[in-house]
Amino acid sequence: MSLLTAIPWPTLLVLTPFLGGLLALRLPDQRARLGVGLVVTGLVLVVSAALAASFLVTHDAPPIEDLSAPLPLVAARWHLGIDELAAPFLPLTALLVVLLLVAAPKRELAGPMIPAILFTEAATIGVYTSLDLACLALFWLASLVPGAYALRESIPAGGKGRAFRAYGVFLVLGALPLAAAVVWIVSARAGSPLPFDLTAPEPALDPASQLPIFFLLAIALLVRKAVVPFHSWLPVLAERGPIAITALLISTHLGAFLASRVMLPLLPEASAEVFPWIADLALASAVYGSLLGLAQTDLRRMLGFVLTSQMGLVLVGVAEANRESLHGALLQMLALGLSSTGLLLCASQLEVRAGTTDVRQLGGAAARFPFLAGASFVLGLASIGFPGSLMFVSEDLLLHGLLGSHPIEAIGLVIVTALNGVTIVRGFFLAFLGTSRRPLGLTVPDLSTRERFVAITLAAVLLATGLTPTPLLLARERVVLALTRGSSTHAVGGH
Amino acid sequence: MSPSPEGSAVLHWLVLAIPAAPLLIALLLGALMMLGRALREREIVFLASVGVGVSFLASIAATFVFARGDSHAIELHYGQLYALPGHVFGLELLVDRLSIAMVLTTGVVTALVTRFSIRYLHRDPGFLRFFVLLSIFDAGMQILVLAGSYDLLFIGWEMVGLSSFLLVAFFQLRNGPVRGGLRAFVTYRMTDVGLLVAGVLLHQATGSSQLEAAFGSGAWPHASTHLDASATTPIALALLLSTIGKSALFPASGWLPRAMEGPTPSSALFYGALSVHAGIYLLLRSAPLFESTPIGSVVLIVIGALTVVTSSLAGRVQSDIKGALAYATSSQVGLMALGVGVAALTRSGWLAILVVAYMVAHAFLRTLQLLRAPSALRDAQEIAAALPDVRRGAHASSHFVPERARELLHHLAYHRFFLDELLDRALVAPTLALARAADDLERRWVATLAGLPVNEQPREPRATDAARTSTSTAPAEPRDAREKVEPA
Repeated sequence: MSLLTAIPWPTLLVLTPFLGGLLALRLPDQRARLGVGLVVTGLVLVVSAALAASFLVTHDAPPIEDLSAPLPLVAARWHLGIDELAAPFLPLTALLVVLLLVAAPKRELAGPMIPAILFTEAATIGVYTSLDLACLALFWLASLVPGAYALRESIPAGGKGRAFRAYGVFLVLGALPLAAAVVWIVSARAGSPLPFDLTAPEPALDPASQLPIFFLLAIALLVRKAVVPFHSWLPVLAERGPIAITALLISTHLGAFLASRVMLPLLPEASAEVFPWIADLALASAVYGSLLGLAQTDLRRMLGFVLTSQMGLVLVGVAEANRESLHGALLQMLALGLSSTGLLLCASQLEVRAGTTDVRQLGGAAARFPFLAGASFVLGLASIGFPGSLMFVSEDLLLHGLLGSHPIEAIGLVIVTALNGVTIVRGFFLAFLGTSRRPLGLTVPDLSTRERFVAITLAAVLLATGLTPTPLLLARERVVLALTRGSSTHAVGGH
Repeated sequence: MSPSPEGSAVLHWLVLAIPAAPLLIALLLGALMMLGRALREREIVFLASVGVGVSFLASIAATFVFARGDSHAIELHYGQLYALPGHVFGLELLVDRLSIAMVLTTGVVTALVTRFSIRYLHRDPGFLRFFVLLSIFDAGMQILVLAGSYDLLFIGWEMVGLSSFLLVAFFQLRNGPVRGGLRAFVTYRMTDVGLLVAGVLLHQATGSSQLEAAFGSGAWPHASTHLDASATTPIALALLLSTIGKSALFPASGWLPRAMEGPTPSSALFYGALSVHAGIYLLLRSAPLFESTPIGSVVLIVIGALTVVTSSLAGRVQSDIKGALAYATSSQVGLMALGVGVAALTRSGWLAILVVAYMVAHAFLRTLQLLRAPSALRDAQEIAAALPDVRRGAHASSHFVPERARELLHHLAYHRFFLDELLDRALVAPTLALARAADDLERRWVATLAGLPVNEQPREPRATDAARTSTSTAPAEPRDAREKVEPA
C-alpha cells in the first residue's frame, strides 16, 4: 500500500501525456511523434491498469489521492484521486489512445494531430481524476481545446468547416455553463473553506440553490452527451472530423461521468427532481438518433447517429439512478467506448481504401478486404449487444433497471436497440456484401498486421469482459450504492 | 421439478457437452478465420465434425440417461454469467420430455446435414465460413432448446438468428442473397424485441426469468403457472411476436422464400428442420402462459390459421421448388401454431405432445425434401416415367369454389397476399419517410449553424481531405494505400 500512497499517481497520469504532447510538438518527424505518443500512452496504460486492478482485487479500497493546499482567494485546490468510479476509465482512455495511434490511417495523424490527441488524453484523465470541481471544470475545458485546434488546422483551404463550426458552437459554448456553475457554487457555499470539494460536500447546498447549478451543469452534460437538441456536433464530427479526436471525444463519456461524479452526489434534491425528465429527454434523443441512423447512406454519419442514440441510452441509465440502471450505464460507457472506437476506425480504414464511406457507391468490399469486413462485422455485433459481448450485459442491466420503474420507457429502449442493430447490420451488408458498385483499386491491400492487431484486441476485450462481467460489477458496487442512496434518500418526487 | 441426484450427476456433463462442443469449435474456427490462417478442407471438416459429432453423441447418451431416470424434469446449474444482489443471470439448462425431443432432433439433423454439406460445398470459397456458421447454429439451437430461463433462451435465439441471416447471405457476391439476408435479419431483429420484453416482464412478475419460477411445479406438458391473465397476456403476446418472426408466421412469412437463396444444406437445416420450428418450441415451452390467457391463445389460433391459408395458397403458385417448399413449411408451421393455441385453450396435454411429434416428423421430412430439391426435376421425371398414365386433373376445389373466387385467390396467392408490400407500406415506408424528413431538417439546421446557404447541396470535403487535390471519378486508388502495408 505504501507504493500506492508514496507516489502521486493521479498527477503523474495527467502529466505524462501532457509532457508527451509538449515533446511531440517540438519533434518535426511524424514517426518520432508517433513513437513518443505510443511510449507515453503505453506507460499511462500500464500504470493505470495496475491501479485499476487494485480496485478489482479489494472492493473497499480507499481512493488514491493527491492533494495540495487550497489556492488563496479562489479556494480551489489541486485535488486528484482515483476511486472505483474513475478507475476503469483511465486504462480505457489510455487503451483507446494506443489503439488509435496504432491503427488510425496515417493521414488522420498528420500535422498537429498527435500532440492534440495527447493533450486531450491528459485533460480527459484530469476530468476523471478531479475531486475538486474547479479542477474538473478546467480539465473539461482543456479537453476540448486541442480538438478545436486540430480540427481548424485540418480544414482544407477554401473549405467551409462545417464540422469545426458545429464543434465550436456546441462543445466549446456548451462548456461555458460548467464554468458558470463553478462560479455559482462559490456564492451558494459562501463561508465554506473548500467550496469546490467533491469528496466531502459539506455544508450541503440547500435545495433552492441546487436547481440553478443543476441546470447549468445539465447543459454541459446534455451537450457533451449529444442529447437532442444539443447533438448536432456528433454526427457532423463523426462524418467529417479527424477520426482519432472524434473517437476520443465520443468514447470517453465525460457527460455521464459528470452526472455521476458531480450532479448525483452534490445536488441530490435537484437530481431527484430533474433527472427523471432528463431520462425522458435522453430516451427521446435515443429514439431520434436510431431513427435518423436508418436514413443515412454514409457509414460515418450513420455511426454518428447510432452513437448519438447509444449515448442517450447511457444517460437514461445514469438519470434513472437505480442500482441496475447505474450498473448498466457504467458498463455501457466502457462497452460503447471500445466498440465505437473500433467501428470508427473500421469506417476510416474502409474510407482510405475505397475512397468513400457512402454505401451507394460501395458494395462487395468483403471480397477485396475480408479482414476489414470480418473486423467490422464482429465489432458491429459487439456494438449492438450481441450475446457474449459486454454490451449485451449492459443493455440487459439497463433494461431491468428501467422496467421496474418505467415499463413504457423500457420498451422504448428495446426498440431503440433493435433499430440500431438494423442500422449497423444494414450498413455492413450494403458496404461489404453484394456486387461492387465502384471498382476498387487492384493494389489496395487488406488490413495490415497492426490494424488487425487492434481489431482483434478490441474484439477480445469486449468478448472477455462480456463473458466475465462480474468483477467489473463488483468493483463498482459500492459507488453505485452510494449514488443510488444519494438520489433515493433525497427523493422528492419524480414521475 | 426436483432433480434426481444420480441422473443429474451423469447428465450434468453430458448436457453441457451438447451445446459446448459445437460452441468451442465455432470459436476456434472463427478465431482461425479472423487470424487469417488458411485451413485445408480436410482440417475444417475434421474440426466441424468433432463439434457436431460430440454434440450428437452426447444428445443420444443424454436421452438414454434421461429416459432411464424417473424424473420428468431435471434442472442443471452451470453457474452464472453475472450476479448482482437481486439480479442473477443464471446459466441453467432444463432437461425434460420437450427439450430432450428437440435436442435429439437437433443432434441428428445437424449431424446428417453436416455430412451432406462436406460434398455439397467442396471447393467453395466460403467453405470455412459455412462450417463456422453451422457450428454457431448447432450450439445456438441446443442452447435454445435446453435453456432453463428466458434469458438463456434469448442467447440461443440470437445465435440461431445470426447464423441464419448470414447463411442466407452466404453467396455474398450476388445481390439477391444479400437482400434476402437483410430482410431476414430485419424481421428477426424487430420481432426479437418480443422475446426480450417477455423475459423482462416475466422477471418483473415473478422476480426471475427462470422457467421454473414462471411455471412452478409440474413437468411439461403438465406445468402450470400461478400468474393471472393480466400478467400473462402481455407476456404471451410478446412471445407470439417473436414466434411470428422466427417461424415465418402471418404476416411476416415473406422472408422465408427469400431465405432459400442460401446454400441448400443450410436451407434444409434452418428452414426445413430446426430454426423455423424454434418459434413453435418457444410456444410449447411457454404453453402454461398461453393456457392462462384465452386472449393470447385465440390470437395464436388466428395467426396460425391465417398462416395456413395464405402460405398454403401462395405455395401452390411458386415457380421454383425451394420457394414452394418454403411456403409448404410455413403453412405446416402455421398448423402447429394453431395446434399449440388449441391445446392451450383446451388445456390438452395430449394435443401438445401431438404437436411435438408432428414437429419432429415434419423436420425430418422437410430436410429430406430440401436436400433433394436440387434434383427435383430428375425426381419429377422419374415419377412421371414410373406412372405414365397419371394425368393432371382439375383441382378438387373447382367443384365447390366459384370461378371468380378462384381467380381472386390465385391472384392473391401469386402475389403472396401482398404481405410484404403491406408491411413495407404500413411500417417500413412511414418509418423511413419520417427518418428522411428528420435528416433533411438536421442537415438544414447544421447548414444554418455553419452559415451556409440552406439549400446548398454539394458535399464539402472532409476535414482530413486536405491532402487530396483531385476529385476525379477514376477508380478509387487511395493515396496512402501503399503506406498501409509499411510496418508500423
